[in-house]
Amino acid sequence: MAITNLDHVVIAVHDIEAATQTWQSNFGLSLERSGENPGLGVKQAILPIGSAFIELISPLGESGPVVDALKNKGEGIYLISLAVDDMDATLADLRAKGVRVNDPPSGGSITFISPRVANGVLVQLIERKQ
Amino acid sequence: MLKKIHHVAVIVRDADQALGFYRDALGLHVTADEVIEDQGVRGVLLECGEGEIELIQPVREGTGVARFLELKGEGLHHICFQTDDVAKELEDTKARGIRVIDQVPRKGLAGMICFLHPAASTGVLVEYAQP
Repeated sequence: MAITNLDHVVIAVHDIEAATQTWQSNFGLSLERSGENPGLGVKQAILPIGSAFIELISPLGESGPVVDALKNKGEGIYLISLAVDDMDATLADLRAKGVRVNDPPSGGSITFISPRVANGVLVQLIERKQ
Repeated sequence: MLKKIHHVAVIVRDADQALGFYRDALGLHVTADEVIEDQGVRGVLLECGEGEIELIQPVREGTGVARFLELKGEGLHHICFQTDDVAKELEDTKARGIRVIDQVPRKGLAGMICFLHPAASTGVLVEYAQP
C-alpha cells in the first residue's frame, strides 16, 4: 500500500461564489466545476493546480460538521485528502499499526482519519487506482 | 504563475510524536528535518507524491507558531504554492492590491519564500515558495 499524492485540500468558506472569485483572481486558478452535493450537505467548487486541486466548500444546510467548523474556527483549511493506490491494503496496514479508521461507506472510495490521531488534522483517504 | 501545491503545514507540539503517525503509520518519507533557529521552529518535510506535508514544532516561546499552538492547539496552519519566481510573484501580488505579510522574499525550509495575509485567501494563510 502507498500514499501516492497530496490529492486535494478542502477549504471551508461562508460564501462559495465570492470565495471562488477570490481564489481565481488572487491566485490565477481556474474553476473546473462547481455544484451542490446534497449527500455531503455542501456546495463545492473545484480549482485544479498541478496534479492536485483546491476544493472550496460551503454548507447547504443549517447544521453539520462544516457549519460547526465555520462557527468554531471561521473560514480556513478544513481537511487534506491523500490519494492511496489500494484502499483495502491501506486500511489493513493502518489498522495493523494501531490507527483507528472506518471502512468507506459501501461502494465508496473515501474514508477519514480522526484529527485526534493526526495531530489536529482531518485526513481524508481517497482511492485513486493507478 | 503558481505551479503546484508545494506543501501543507501542520503545527505540532512534538514532531517526534507526530512522525509516529505521518512517517511510521502513513509511510511517508522524510525529505528534510531541521531546526531553523531564527524562526524558532523545527520543520520536517514529508514527501507525498507531487506535494509534501510539513510538520512545524515551535522550539521556543514568543513566536507566531508558538502562539498558534497555545491558542488553537495542533492543526493545519498554511498551504504553500510553488512558483518559479517568488520575487516576481510577490511583486505581482502586491501590485494587484493583495495584502501580504512579507514585503520581500526570505529564506525558509522550502527555499525562498513569502507569506500572504489570510485576508487574501478566505482565512487561509498562503505561502509562496521557490525551491
